[in-house]
Parts: sequence; structure tokens; C-alpha cells
Amino acid sequence: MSEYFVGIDLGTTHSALYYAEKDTNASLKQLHIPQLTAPGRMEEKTLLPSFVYFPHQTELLESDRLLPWGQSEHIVGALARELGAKSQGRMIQSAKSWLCHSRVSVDEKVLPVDALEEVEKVSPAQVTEWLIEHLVNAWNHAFPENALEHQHLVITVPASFDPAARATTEAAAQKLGLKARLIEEPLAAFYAWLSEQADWTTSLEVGDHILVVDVGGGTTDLSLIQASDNDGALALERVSVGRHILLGGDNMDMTLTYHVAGQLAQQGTQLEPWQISGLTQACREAKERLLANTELTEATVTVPSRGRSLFNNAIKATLTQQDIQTLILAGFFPEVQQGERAQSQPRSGFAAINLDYESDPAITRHISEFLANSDALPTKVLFNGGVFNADPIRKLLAERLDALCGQGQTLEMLTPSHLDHAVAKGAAYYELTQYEGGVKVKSGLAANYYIGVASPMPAIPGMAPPVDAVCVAPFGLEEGSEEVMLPNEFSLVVGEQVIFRFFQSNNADVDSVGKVIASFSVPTLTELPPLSVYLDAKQYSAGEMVRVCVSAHVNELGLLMLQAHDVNSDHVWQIEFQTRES
Amino acid sequence: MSKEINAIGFVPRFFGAFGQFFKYMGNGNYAARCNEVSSGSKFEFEVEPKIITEEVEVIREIQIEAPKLDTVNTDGALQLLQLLQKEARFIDFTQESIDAYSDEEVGGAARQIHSGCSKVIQQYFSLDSVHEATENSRVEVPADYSPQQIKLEGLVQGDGPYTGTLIHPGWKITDIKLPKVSDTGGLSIIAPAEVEV
Repeated sequence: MSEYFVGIDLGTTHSALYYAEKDTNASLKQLHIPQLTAPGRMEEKTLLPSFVYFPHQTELLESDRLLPWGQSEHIVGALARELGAKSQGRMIQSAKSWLCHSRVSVDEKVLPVDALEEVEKVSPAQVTEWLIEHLVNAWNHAFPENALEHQHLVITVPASFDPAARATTEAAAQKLGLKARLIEEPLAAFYAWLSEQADWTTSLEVGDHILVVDVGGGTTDLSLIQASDNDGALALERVSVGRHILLGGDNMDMTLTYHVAGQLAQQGTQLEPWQISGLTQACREAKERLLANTELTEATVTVPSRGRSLFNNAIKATLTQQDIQTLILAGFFPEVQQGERAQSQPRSGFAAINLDYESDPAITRHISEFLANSDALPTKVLFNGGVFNADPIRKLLAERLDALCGQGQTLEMLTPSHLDHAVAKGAAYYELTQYEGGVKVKSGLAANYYIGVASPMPAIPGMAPPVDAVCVAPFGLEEGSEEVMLPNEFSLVVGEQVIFRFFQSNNADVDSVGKVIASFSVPTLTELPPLSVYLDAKQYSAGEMVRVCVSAHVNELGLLMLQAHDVNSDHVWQIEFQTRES
Repeated sequence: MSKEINAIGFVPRFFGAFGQFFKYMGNGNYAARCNEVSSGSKFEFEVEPKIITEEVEVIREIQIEAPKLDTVNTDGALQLLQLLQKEARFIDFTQESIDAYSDEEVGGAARQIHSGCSKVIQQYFSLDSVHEATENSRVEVPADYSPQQIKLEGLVQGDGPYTGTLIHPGWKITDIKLPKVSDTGGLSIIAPAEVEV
């Protein structure tokens, strides 16, 4: 029996798992994840595409869905993505981004968004559980003696995940019998870099600010880490995180696809839906070719027909180096000024229920907005994510950041060795340092959190009672730290369903616990999905108002917990983030 | 000699003589045998056997099996074709006549087929050179070289070592990681027919 430190990167488009054995000084290794790649064909791959597919009853034979640990009703991984590209209404993707959707609850059955009538919709929380379950099975298959539930496990979440999304991820793991600690993805990427340094203190110095830019397939995640002096020793602290930005490498491929589709439309070729996905694939390959070799002036994009002939009805277009320059480099990484903010476009009044995609594609503008909110300028930069495999993108963004920070200085680049796997690797390394010692990056809550408190006011027709926001948990509150008790007392309704409104701050200024933001200033905060909670009446009668004190702490798994303590007895009510309502 | 005759002592001889008297008197046949022995004849078991040696030619037929060639497992070949068709549309390409298309068109398709094929090879096979020297360099081949690994060409004579130019460093597979399948029966379907409903 041995013990392992395991890191899971539960990505929007791909998941990965790294591990290290305890007390062996062994290096971090990657788990190869068994998955179906075609009906009846099983392969072990380093990445598990985060896709789920519900096959039609006749589509697959019993034997076609055989995995080393048995069969499953739904398909997860490479085959799910492939089948879903060819059949509509049966595939779920980007379930993770739904976990922090502002208007859809994690337990609401909304996926697949375009589900066919006979396909039963499932909740984002359920999909998260299935993805983790697949990884658990893969682990237990590889290590039958050392079940995952007995290992030290870390799951990464976007730095921008709100408390409810974090709690949902944790709850999904818990349902599978796992006890997982959560850490933020950009932080994990930074840990991956740390794991590859012989002595990190030589690379960093007091006062350094390291900007972590993590551009994945579907999301961009930003964090700022500060190197500070801790009694003569160099200490690291994560001081700021960006908001959830649904913008990533897939957007770049889509941009090229629409550009080429537009060209073809001008020539009179209308594309069918299946050709769009083929075109995206071909554009991605052309983009990689052009970015890998900037001397190449153009690349051909071909979408062969679906029939036997590769030549008949094949669609052909050309992407030039110039297209890449204007659409990708200038489009996603334009020059920005200090303090420039992401632009929002007027939105259409009605929109289909779907993810809130970013309207401004300029990653540099999101970065400058983030830096303005954090009130700091970086001295070093760590890039992570597959997008940065392309040399020109890395160079250009470095150039833009140099210009953004001004003073003619050059930011130093820190590069983790593998841009696609760094997050999982860093997560496993983080858990390792928790037990075996090593540098720890101090990180706590990424924002101030507030609860809405209704002000007493005589009823006025047509006006809801105004709500003040009271700070319950300050920025930087760390896991395992002492409980923070609010100085104020409140009345709490017990024994009936009540709604808590919940807010978070947008900047990195620390508010003191108990600080009241008056109702007219509340719009400066970001409102989080309200929590609908039923608190047990205990000795009180239903609907009674109880005088309580409120406390907050971050538990050892990194989850924010709120408790209401009865002033007149020992009763404590836990306010859970899992149950939130749209 | 298989058995020796041992002399009998006086006392048993003395008493035995009376018995022999009556046996000699009553049995003519026995008396005749006694006379033969007393006249010097020997019993068969007292005589050394005579060995007769004679050479005989023996011809025996032995069946030698005809040289047998191994058949390779066809499942692996079918699976490789499946993978090549899926990633590179390899069968489609080889089954279509390309005479009617321009070099440019064929070139465009070749790019895709190339990227698909190399993806398959990279993913499932680990390749290495047989000979580590660079192409077109002078190399020495020891006398006891393995003809499976090195093919001598040109003016090949004598016992070696041989020197020559490395024309092609060769390829060898160091590792194969083919996908596992749940049912080998379906492998002959290289690509299913596709029907859009």
C-alpha cells in the first residue's frame, strides 16, 4: 500500500491527471486515461476531452462501449467529441463554464442546450461528477491497490470561480467518495513552474509581481502573484485574480473559420453545418502552420467532401500570413493603454439561454482592465495554455505587456515546460509540498464577499425594500484561518425558504468585516447568484426571526463557509453555497 | 557361461549314492544321461555361448516436413487501415483515380493525407533508425553483421569487414501501442457507411 499525491485539472475542454508517490522522491508522472476513441476501440491518452455524449439506442453495440472497468450509459472523452460533431442534440461540452452561470443553477437540468426530445437533460453539476468519475475509474484501474479516495487529491478550478461553483466541484468529488482540496488554475500553473526550478529564490526577488496569463481552449484566467519579504525569507502571495472570461483559443479558430466562410460565401459557396466543423479543423491546422513558420505567406484550407472522393466537391480556400496578423494577432492582442477596459457592445434584447461569451475578444484589454483593478504592474509574466505554443503569439503578448507597463522595461518570461499539462502537474506538486514541505503561495479569497441585508423601511408600492451589502468575508481570507465574526447582529428567518442575496467586490481593496455598503452603492459590486436556503427552525416556530451573529471562514478544502450563531442559544445554522436558485 | 557346477562334499555324496543307485536302476533314460556325462559331455549351460556377428543394411524412411511460412495476424493490419482511413482518408485516396485532377489539387489533398498519416504513425509507433550514422556517410560493416538489419549492395565479395556509403539508415519500430478492441470480428469494416438522417 502506498500513498500518492494526485492533481486533477478539470478543464473546460480537456482534463488531465498528474501524480507523485509519497516518500519516494519520484518525479511527477502523468496518468494515461483509458477512453473510447471509436466504437469498440479503447486507447489510453494523456488528455481526456471534457465531452459527454448520449448515444442513440441503436447507435452502439454493447461491446462498443466497453471500458476496462465496464460499460457506461453515456460516453465520455474522445469518442464523445467525435460523435457529437456529427450528430446534433446529444453532446455536452463546456459544462464547467455553466457552473458559474449567473442565471442558471448548477442543479438545473439544462444540458445539452440543444437536446433532442428523447435525450434527457442533465445538470452541469451532474456532468462534472461524470467527468471526475471517469478519472476515478481510470485511476482505480491503474492502481487497484490504492483507490483514489485514499489518496491526497487536489482539483483545480478557475481563479474566477465563485464560492458556489467551487462548492459544486467539491460536492461532485464528495459524491464519489473523494476528499478533494481545491486550488486555482493559474496558481497551479505557477506551482508547475516552481516544481521545475532548482532554486526559485534566485529567479524571483522581493517586490516582484508575477502576472499569470492562462489562456485555455475556452477561458482566459488571470492572476497576480507577489513576492514579498517574510522575516528575511522570500514569500509568495497571490494578491489578485481576474473575473471569469469566456475567451480562449477556440475563439481564434472560430474567427478564422468565419473569415474563410465569408470568403467562400462571396464566391457563392454556402457551407453546410458539417462543413463548418471540418473548416474549423482545417483552419486550426493552417493557423498552426502559419504561426510555426512566419516566412510562409499562405496556407491552403481544404475541407474534403464527406463522400469517397477527396477531390469532388472539396472546398478550398486560402489563409494568408496577413490574415493571421490582422485576425489573430491584431484582433486578440491589440495595443492597449494603461487602464484601458474591455469594451462591451450593446447586447440584443433577447438571447438564447447559453453561456455568456465575452463580447470583447481583445485579451490584452482584459489584461489591462485586470491590472487596473489590481492596482499593480507586473515585473514577470508566466504564460500557460496551448495558445502560447505558438511563438509569435508569445512574443507579441510579451511586447504588448512591456508597452503596457511602460518605463521601457522588459518583463521577464517564466515558462512552464509543458503548456497543456502544467495545471495538473502543478496541482500534484502543490499537494506534495503541503506534506513534504516546500514553498507555499499564500492565497485566500479572491474578493470581498457581502451578503444583502434588507433595510427596514415602510412598504412603498412598486418598490422593493432597499438592500445594503454587509462584508462577511474579506479579501485574502485564508483556508484554515480563524473564524471571522461580524460585529453586527442580524435577524434571521428560520423554518421557511428564504433567499440570500450575495455580492462580491470587483477590485483588490480589502474591506473590513462588517463594513456596510449602503444600498445606493451596491451596484458597484457584482451580484452573485442568490442562494435559496431553508434553515431548520430547531426550537423556534416556522417563519420566526431569530437574532444571530454571522461568522465566516474558509475550510481546509478552500471553500467559503458562512454560519449564523443564535445569540440566545448554542444553535448554529450553516449557510451552504451548494443550493442556489436561478 | 551362465551356471557353474560345484563339487559336492563327502557326507552328502555318501548318502546320495544310495539314492542314485535306485534312480539309475529304475530309469533307463536317466541311466543313459549319466553315461553321457561320465563319457565327458557337458551341459548346455556349462558351455560358452558362441557369438555370431553379421552386418545387415537397414533402410528407414524419415518424413521431413516441408518449409513452413508463418502467417501474420491480419487483425493488426485491419486496425492500421482503419486508423489510416479515419485520420488520413487513406483508402479513399488510394481507391480514387487521380489522373483527372491537377497537381495542385492532388498536392492540396496530399498535405492532409500526410498530416493524418504522420499523426497515426507518431501516435501508435515509436520509430528509430537501424543505423545511427548520417545518410551518405562512410560506414564500416563488421564481418558478422546481421543481414536482417543491414543490406549490402553493389560489389559485395570477400569475408569483410566491409566499408561503404550509408544510402538509407533504415527504420525500426521500438514500441507499438495500438488501441485495444472489444471485438475483433468487426475489424474488417474499415469505415462504416455513413447515413445522415
